[in-house]
Amino acid sequence: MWTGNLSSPELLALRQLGVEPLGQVYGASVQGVSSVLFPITTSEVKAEVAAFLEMLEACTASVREQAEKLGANRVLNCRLTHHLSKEARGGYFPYKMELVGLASKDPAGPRNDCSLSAATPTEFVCLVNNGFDPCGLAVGFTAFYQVAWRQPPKKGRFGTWANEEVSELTQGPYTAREIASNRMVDMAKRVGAAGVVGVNLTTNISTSGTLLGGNMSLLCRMMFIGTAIRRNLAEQGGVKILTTISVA
Amino acid sequence: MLYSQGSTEGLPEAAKQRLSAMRGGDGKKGFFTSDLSVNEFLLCQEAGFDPVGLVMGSSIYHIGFQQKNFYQNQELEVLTQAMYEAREHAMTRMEEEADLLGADGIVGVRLEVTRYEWGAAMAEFMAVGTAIKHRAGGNYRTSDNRPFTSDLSGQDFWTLLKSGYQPLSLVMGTCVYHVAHQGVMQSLKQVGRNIEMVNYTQALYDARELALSRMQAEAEREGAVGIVGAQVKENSHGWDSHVIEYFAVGTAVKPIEGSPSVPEPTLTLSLNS
Repeated sequence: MWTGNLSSPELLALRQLGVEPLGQVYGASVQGVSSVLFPITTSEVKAEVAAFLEMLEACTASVREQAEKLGANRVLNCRLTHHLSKEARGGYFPYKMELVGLASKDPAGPRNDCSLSAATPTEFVCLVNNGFDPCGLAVGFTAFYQVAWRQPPKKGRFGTWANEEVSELTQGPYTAREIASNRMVDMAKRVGAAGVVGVNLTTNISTSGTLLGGNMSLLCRMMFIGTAIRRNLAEQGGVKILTTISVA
Repeated sequence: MLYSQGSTEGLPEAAKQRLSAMRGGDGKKGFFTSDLSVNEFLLCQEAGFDPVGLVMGSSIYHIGFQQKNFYQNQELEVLTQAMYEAREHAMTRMEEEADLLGADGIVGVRLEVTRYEWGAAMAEFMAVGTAIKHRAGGNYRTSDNRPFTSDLSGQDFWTLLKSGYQPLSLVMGTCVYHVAHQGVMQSLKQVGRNIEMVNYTQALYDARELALSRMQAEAEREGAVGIVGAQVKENSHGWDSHVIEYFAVGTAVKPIEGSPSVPEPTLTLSLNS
């Protein structure tokens, strides 16, 4: 007996590869992030990033444990959600993370381990049939605080109304993306991946703190998530590509 | 900020380091990231291209101000210029990142404009795509040696190549337009009657035509024979209700010399609902 949100074609695709779905697995973690959130200089919001990483570890450990109890060696279709409350409670901001996936038994999968992947069942089948092993979930996150001390505005009657790039602010999202992207790459490299596919980037940029005399501070939250892949030693035959016109 | 071959002027130091590490070489293995879906990734591989990295460019831009004539349809050139220039900043930075990875082109390019409540006159312009490189070293860069850019999905890119065409460049045209307000007398004359709002109709036509003609002019400059996947989008970006942006975007293409004939498609009945 198993439960899962698989569609019939997904179930068929998995069965054709000899993979047995075993059930949905779930991990959750809630942390309190100190209300003294924001640094005063340009840097990462360490308390929030540390909480994210700890919750991610707790959620993946929980999902893995449940999957292993079911006899699974893969968790497919992993979906990660996280939410930091804007309202402090008792000096802390509640921060919640949930991870849900489909535990499966793959006869050709890892023997003494359980690998997590964001690939959907059909994506998983496509990757395996083309000689790739989805070997892990790759996640990178940062909350980056950019303090922008603006240069004096351009002179002239309508000077401050001119078109111009705000390069001091552009730097914030850029740096945040670099940090988050590097973390995702590091996570993928730890499982021996050659690359990450299906990368999804979520961005949240807000002002925080002050707007003093034309100065502005940005809080940039970025999360990258994707499926780490590596070449399978035992190469498969590959999928035949047909150019088709659907009549459905 | 226009693209110039080999320049990395717009990139922060951290991005340069990350991209050189991803490129590999000197005995180090390369590593790629990609926002292509699994199917897109596999189709690009089948077409002979390897993804080399997720590339991005962004710019937070202060959009200037232009006085409008309340009763007149008119293009707002200052705003049009801002939309062009900020997108150009983002695109150039993305192309510079692709250059650092030694890519032949970028597929699945998305151009996003985000307005935030914290900056009334500001917007973030972002260009994101996956840089790819031909495994056999085919000539896919543009005539001025830029990596090609395209907003086609992996599926469309594969189909385009199989049909004997190659992408040249993401081409765009934009026009920010002020739609004239009606006078009081004219409004009174129309009370209780169905009537065409001529100034609105004319404004939509004008703005659309300007955006499309600019996109086509860009494609002609690139030496393209056509544009595929062209879309015309209407945005307001939080301006007042009489200010609209028409944004035309598509992929300029040219034929591949000596390419095989197009395969006959098979009719299928999908099992997916």
